Amino acid sequence: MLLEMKDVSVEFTGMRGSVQVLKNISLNISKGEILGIVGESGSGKSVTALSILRLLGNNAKTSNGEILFNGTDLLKIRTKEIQALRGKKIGMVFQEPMTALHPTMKIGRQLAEVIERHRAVSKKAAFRLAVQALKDVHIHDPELVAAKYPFELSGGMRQRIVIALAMAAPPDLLIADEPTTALDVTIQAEILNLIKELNNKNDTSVLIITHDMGVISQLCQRTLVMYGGEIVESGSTNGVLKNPKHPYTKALLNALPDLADPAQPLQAIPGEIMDLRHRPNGCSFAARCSIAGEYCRTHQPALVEILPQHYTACWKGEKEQND
Amino acid sequence: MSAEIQTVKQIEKPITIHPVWYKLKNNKMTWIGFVIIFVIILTSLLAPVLTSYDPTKIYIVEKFQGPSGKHWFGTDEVGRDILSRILYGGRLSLGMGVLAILITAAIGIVLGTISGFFGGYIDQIIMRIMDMILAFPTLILAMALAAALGPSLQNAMLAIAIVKIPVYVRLARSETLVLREKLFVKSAITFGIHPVRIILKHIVPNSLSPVIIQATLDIGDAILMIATLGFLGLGAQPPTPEWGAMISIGWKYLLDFWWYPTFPGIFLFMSSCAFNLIGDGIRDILDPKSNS
Amino acid sequence: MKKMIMKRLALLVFVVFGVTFVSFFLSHIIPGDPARMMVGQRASEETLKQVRGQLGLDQPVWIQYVTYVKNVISGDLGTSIRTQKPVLDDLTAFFPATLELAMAAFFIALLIGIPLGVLAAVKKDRFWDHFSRLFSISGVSMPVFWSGLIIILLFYGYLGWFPASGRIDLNINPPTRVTGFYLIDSLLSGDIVAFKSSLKHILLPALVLSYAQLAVITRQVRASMLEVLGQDYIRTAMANGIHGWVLLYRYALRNALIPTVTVVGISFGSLLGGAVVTETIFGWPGMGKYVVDSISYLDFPAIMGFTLLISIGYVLINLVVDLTYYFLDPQLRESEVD
Repeated sequence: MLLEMKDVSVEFTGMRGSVQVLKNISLNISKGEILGIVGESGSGKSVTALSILRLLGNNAKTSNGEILFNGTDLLKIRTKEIQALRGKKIGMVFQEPMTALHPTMKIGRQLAEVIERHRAVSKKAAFRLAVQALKDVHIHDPELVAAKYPFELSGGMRQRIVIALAMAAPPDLLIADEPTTALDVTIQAEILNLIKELNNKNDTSVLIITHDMGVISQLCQRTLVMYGGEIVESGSTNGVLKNPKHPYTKALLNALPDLADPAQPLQAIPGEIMDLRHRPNGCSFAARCSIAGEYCRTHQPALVEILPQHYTACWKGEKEQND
Repeated sequence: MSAEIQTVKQIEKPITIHPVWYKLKNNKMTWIGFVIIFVIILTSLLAPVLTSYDPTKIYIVEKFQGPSGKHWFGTDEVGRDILSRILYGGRLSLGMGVLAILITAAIGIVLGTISGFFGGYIDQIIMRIMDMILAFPTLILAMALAAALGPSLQNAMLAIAIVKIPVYVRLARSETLVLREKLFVKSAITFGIHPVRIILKHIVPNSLSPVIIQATLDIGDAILMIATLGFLGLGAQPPTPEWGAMISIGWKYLLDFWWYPTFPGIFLFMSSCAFNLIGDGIRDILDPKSNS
Repeated sequence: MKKMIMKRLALLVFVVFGVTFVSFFLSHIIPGDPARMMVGQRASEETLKQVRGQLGLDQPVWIQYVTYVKNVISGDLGTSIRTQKPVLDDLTAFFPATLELAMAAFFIALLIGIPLGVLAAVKKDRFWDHFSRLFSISGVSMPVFWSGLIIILLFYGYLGWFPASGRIDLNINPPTRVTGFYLIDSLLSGDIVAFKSSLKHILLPALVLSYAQLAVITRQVRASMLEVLGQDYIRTAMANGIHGWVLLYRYALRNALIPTVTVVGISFGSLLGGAVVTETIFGWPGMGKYVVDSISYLDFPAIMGFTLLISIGYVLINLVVDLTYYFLDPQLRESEVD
């Protein structure tokens, strides 16, 4: 197993009191695998990604659990060691390509800076590798682009460069946090293809975070569904999308337009995302769930294997199986 | 930062205690500033009670006495008690500093709102005059004005009030420009309400808070500048017990009678420092950019 | 680029007219009479009249103004009433000393202010942040004339480490004048003794003068560093393994300096103002003392010449600020081309 998160919880401390934003998250990724995490904004999926690289702010505290990467607990190692790991073993791509690059440093220099850090090469060689890295993410005229500043490039180009930066080492694991959300639809597909291609070529594992079921179905072998800082369902992408067990997953899928039947009205999920300060005693989705009963509101469901390799945290789902 | 963190911030907003008060309560340095100012104001107001020495009475026999139980801060070249002079001088230094800023802020708000509200020629004329004032180094202009008006404490205060006007005009003007586009002001204009009334009722009250921050930050500076003019002989004239003027004379005796210029300087520094601590704290609290 | 320089130069013309106009206006509303000052109280009406004629004071005010501006444009700033010498000669004699002091103070302020601001931002809400805040606030609250006295008392009076006044020891010949800066001229002529002596003399006044500016620079660097450190690209860089000095200096500080440049430019202007007071305390033979004396003598040609020089300096500093912006921000550079 390349990455194993076990029971990780994260709290943010505000001006007074603290808020639990992740609650007992467990997940694993094997070599070469693409894992997807899907959920609404505020579900804790980005925090999960950031917690792996320990990039959460000072106000965040990872209170328990462990994050094993090749067997080492990332939560236990020293700052120096995690810094050495960032980019070299685990790369990360963020949502907003427009602001993700150093605004006053030329593209080639930015890439070379990162390459020099991860590979024992001379300055000149690093620059050559930088141009090669641009070529690898299918940028035409890489020499020309290397001599440009970020503001001279389009969003899609910039996201390619962000990916090139993250893949510079190349790392064993690439974490992509909403990599296509800020981009035009046509460019989205190109970026997704690029990620898939890099995954194939280098056998890099990918953890992709998105709110877009389309991205999940195109890329991921396995999928996790998050709600309110918890995992509510996980399984093979096929299983989760074709045969969703958790009402939240079903609601998410219902909220998608059906291309086969565009006349059908879209179904929004009623209610608002949970207030993390006031975690209910029972299931966190109960307040918005159409099938929740009294028992759901008072008792917290655990993640159980409802089908082979298909887990869900829902009392109703379990009953279905038991009946 | 990520969407999650923002969500947490949004959730945290409706707190029971007002955040301004919460921040103020936790800002120790601001409180230290308040305490220092309070003590200095109190002691200078209570000067007649706290000291039996007349700040201006010459008693040549006791000249240049070092600090002792009798004269805590020693005596000056004609035997006056330095502590007593400092306490009485506090009224002048603090009072004039505050007065200078009050005058500046008042003139600045009037000119700035007029400039911003009416625009056009009026705006051009006012702002170009302000640019001209800004083309001079502040202290040099204040010196020249004080010299031109005739060296005295009041004139020094006026000179400082004048050189500081442009900052307030600019502040009030930019606030006015924003407010003028707001619906409640636009509708007032449409209803044909008299501009003076709109300015007084809507513009001025709403543009006050940045002016107040600036004013608090400027009082410390004004106190320093008045003392500087006093030191250069362009402000308060001896035997007025103004701190800058005291240092100006005490300076000549520095190496032999160290206490003479030292103690007035400490009070000057402390008052200016206290106002700056308060100003800094208030800015931290009211400025959304510097939240922590 | 060209457009910007032209704009600044146009402003220069405006400032020259503005400043001469304001100082002229001022010099004619004041009650004092320069001619009377010049000839003394006991001189006869006759002499007074004659001197008035010499100074052009018998002409209508607007003619006096036009004459003055004409002269200024041709490089004649008039004759000082106090020293009886051309104002321009006086200024060129005294200005280098003031500029040398201001530059020295400016470099000290940058040298300490920038790292302290970075440190305060990185260690936000911890010891160094609180320290830098107190240090800055005490800096802007410190009366220059008083801190100067205390430093003289300490380093000259008690310790005797540094001299209390002047630019160079009296028994050492000043270096041959090239730039007018003793530190540079002594190095140019290879005169190490003179260099050491002038370094010793400049240190205390430069420190005192730099304190207030240091405060301003520290606060600004801290504020813009905090803003930059919160930006997305810093997180990206961190995720790519950039950390430590490279992250702070090559990634954050470079961009944090862009807004700092303006503040630094303004602060250099107020340094020249503060120099007046510092020079008085340290007996520094620069323009400060010249101006204070001129002001108490109501020597208006001298005062006007000085303010004109300083104001032109202001505009030029702003030009330098603009050029620095231009150098630091590639986006600005590109947009100018269009």
